[in-house]
Amino acid sequence: MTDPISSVSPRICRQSGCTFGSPNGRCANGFADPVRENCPDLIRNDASGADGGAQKNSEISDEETRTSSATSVRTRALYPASALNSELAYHVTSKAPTRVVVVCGMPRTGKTTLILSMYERFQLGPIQGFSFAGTRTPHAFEEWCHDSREISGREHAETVRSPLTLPEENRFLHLRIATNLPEATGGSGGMRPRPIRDLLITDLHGEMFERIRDDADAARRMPVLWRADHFVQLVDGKALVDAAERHRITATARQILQSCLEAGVLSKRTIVHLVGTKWDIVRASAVADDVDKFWATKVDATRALLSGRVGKFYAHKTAGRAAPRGSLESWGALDLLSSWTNEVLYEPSSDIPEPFEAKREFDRLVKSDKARTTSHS
Amino acid sequence: MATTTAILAAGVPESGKSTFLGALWHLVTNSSDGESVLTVTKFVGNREYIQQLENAWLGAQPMPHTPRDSHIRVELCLHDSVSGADLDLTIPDLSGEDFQGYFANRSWPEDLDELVQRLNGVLLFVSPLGGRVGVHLSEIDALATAAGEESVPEPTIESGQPAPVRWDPEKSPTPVILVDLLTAISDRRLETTVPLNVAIIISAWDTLAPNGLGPAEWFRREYALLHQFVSTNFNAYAFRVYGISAQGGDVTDPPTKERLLSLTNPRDRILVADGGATTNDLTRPIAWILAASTAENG
Repeated sequence: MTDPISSVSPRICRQSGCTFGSPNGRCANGFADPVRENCPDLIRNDASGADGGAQKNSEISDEETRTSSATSVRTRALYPASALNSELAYHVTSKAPTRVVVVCGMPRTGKTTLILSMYERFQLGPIQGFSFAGTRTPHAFEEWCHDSREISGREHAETVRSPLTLPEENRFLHLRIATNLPEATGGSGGMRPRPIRDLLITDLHGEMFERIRDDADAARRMPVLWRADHFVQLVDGKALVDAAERHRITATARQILQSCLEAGVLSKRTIVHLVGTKWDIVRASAVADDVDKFWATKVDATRALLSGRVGKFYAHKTAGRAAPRGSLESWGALDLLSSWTNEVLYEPSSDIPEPFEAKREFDRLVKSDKARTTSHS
Repeated sequence: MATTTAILAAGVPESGKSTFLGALWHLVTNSSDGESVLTVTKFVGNREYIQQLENAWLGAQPMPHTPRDSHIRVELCLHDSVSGADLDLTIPDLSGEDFQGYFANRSWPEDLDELVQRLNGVLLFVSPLGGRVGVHLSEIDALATAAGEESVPEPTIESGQPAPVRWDPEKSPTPVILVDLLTAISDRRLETTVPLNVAIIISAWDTLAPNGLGPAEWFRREYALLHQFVSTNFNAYAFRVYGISAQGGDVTDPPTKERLLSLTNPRDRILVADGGATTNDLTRPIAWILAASTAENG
């Protein structure tokens, strides 16, 4: 299957300035899918091989060598740098202890903002002992951050609205984090460095979100949910301020969790986080006390719902990008980052429940965990 | 027998790579007793380009811009006065735009790839005058508020504001590009298990020295993402930070240029801050890479 976000496209655009075919590129003519929609400016990319076929996207560092027709300089492809598909994610999980984080929430709840804020904050320095140790998805992060930066030419920060994940496949952002766990004494008496953990973070596409809410089988058929170490359910704080909306959106969050429990994808190996986003808006509202009380009841109800059925449950309030250069610590995301990085309940073993319909993606993620067990046993 | 050593000089545009090379060439070819750890014994290839750089440096002129896709390699045979060793040194002079292009286009030339696989170290240039950081719009709002300015109104279609600029990967923040470069280099050093020696060179150090921060502290503060990256991946990278002013001052400022040209020995223009020491031996970062590589291989 041709990877829609592959680092190399078998078709290229002849129109100057069009970025289609580059990682996270977009069609200058506005086609959502220029290949399927027959964009008139697309031509076959001869550099992609005599058969014109798609280049493989299965290696972090692509072994293909291609020749640039413009300069006749032979080049070697680097790792793609865009959001990882499941095959590329496998290369991460197979090499290092990896936490898989699934972020779930209705459109505009703040999924993207939550994820990007952590990346943005690391550009300023370590966060209470957590340090940035790398990423395999710098293009994805940078493109998403663009509209909130001065260079975008905008007057106010915006977050890219396009989803990370496609309905048919999850895409992952990758962060390597040096933990804040204390340094340990090595066997030779020297100090060992802090452990490094890889995070693969994905969100649920809005379409899938609705399907899961309405049908447990849909959750059962989603490989990434079986592999999630952390399941993060977001609730829009801005909507909580609206007395009519708050019941509906918290009910939706409960329905999602119930569906996932019924499907068996949330289990005692999963850490569930209930996150109230945009809490700066709540605090600034005239009904802040009401919302706090309402939220507390919903947290209690969720805890009761999950009790004995998942590994751990946490509730958080975050304030997204209210102060991107301020302290992450002050708006609650540090607790999330700390849990994602330091906590894991699922030590891979043979008792992994088989999904309703095993798919290649799931197989790969499970295989990667078996490799992890082997390499660290 | 001479040891073969490959060093990559890397950085975004205007980060000081060519100025460094021009001054380095002058030093290693005009060294008096003990002035430099390294002295040149032989040069391989065409001298025209490196001598152009040297002449521009001697004349306190702005450096000629390295063309994109240049395949210029500075290949020197050097003698290390400390260890007594002879070594062959290869430094390709790539333009800053080349490095931005590798980040954006996700490929680099095969001849560079071949060099990368046997790299001993990287001279990684960062500059307080060039480079780019990702300034968040809310910071500007916060600064405006602090200055007592009114908040900028929400833009409307009718307001006639310029159209937003589309994302261009080449314009990503410099620390992000450099982290990616080091990651890509590590990917290609397939048969090497020893850490890559990275000499972080903060150019135009003369503009920063009055601030009282040492090079390592400035790097930690201003290039936080890159600092975290090289610090935490200790098994992949060994790094040391230098503050270097190869020109000694802003050569576009006439009084400064006059002062620099009045110095009898051009090497006296050079400022190298290495830990607590200050010297004008520009070969120090290279000597550190060579010593570290020798120790690793020995």
